[in-house]
Amino acid sequence: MTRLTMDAFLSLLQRYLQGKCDFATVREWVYRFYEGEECIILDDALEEIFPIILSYLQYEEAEEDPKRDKRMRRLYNVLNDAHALFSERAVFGLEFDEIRELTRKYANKVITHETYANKMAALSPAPYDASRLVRWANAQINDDEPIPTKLT
Amino acid sequence: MAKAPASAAAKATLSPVGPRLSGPVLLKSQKFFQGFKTGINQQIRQIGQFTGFSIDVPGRVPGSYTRWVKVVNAEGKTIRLYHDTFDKTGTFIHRGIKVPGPERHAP
Repeated sequence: MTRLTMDAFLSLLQRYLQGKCDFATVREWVYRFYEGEECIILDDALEEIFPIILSYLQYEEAEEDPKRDKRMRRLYNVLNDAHALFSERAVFGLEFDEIRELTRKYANKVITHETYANKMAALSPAPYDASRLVRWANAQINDDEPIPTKLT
Repeated sequence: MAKAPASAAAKATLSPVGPRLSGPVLLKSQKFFQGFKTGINQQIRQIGQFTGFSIDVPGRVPGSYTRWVKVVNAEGKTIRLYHDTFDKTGTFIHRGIKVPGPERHAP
């Protein structure tokens, strides 16, 4: 039996970000679990984020996302040294540009609160607490990068 | 571009399987399905002497989804494993093949 851990995932992400492996390696590492050919279990943190990561990877593989590197750097930043709120951090890291754009639109009254809340809740099909993202987004609306120490 | 061809073809040629799965096939199906926490439309179908499992995973873009498909023989050995991604209009956009060998197809 193989146990996949958040530490191993972060280590792999770091290797990708340093150019030491290609993105297909990251993708296959996650897909291995879903292919069900091996006995693989996940630690609690990966249990939370894998459904979010899977939805993104499917999109990235099919669409060839030009923002992939930026998303992966942010994902690494928000998950590194995290001890809780893994799913919210994963969505925040992957969708930071969208979150910032929505938050700015809402702040400038371009969209209603209802639209803002609905869109913030639909950033991933996997479960997460959208109200936490709203709180983080309001604190970082002018930042270029999500800074993990601010995500509490 | 054809809309959801894999789904339409599957419905036309595959017949639903009842509860009569052999031990190794049943185990394989349980192992396959248990990982997909957000999966919907889970199906098990007989394809001649083989058994196919499929499950749809909602995509990042609302309305889009990826269908994961595994086909096993009577001993539970995987002979096909791939996933098809469809956009929010149901249009097929990509197939990733793991078994019999990694391939990448896009129209």
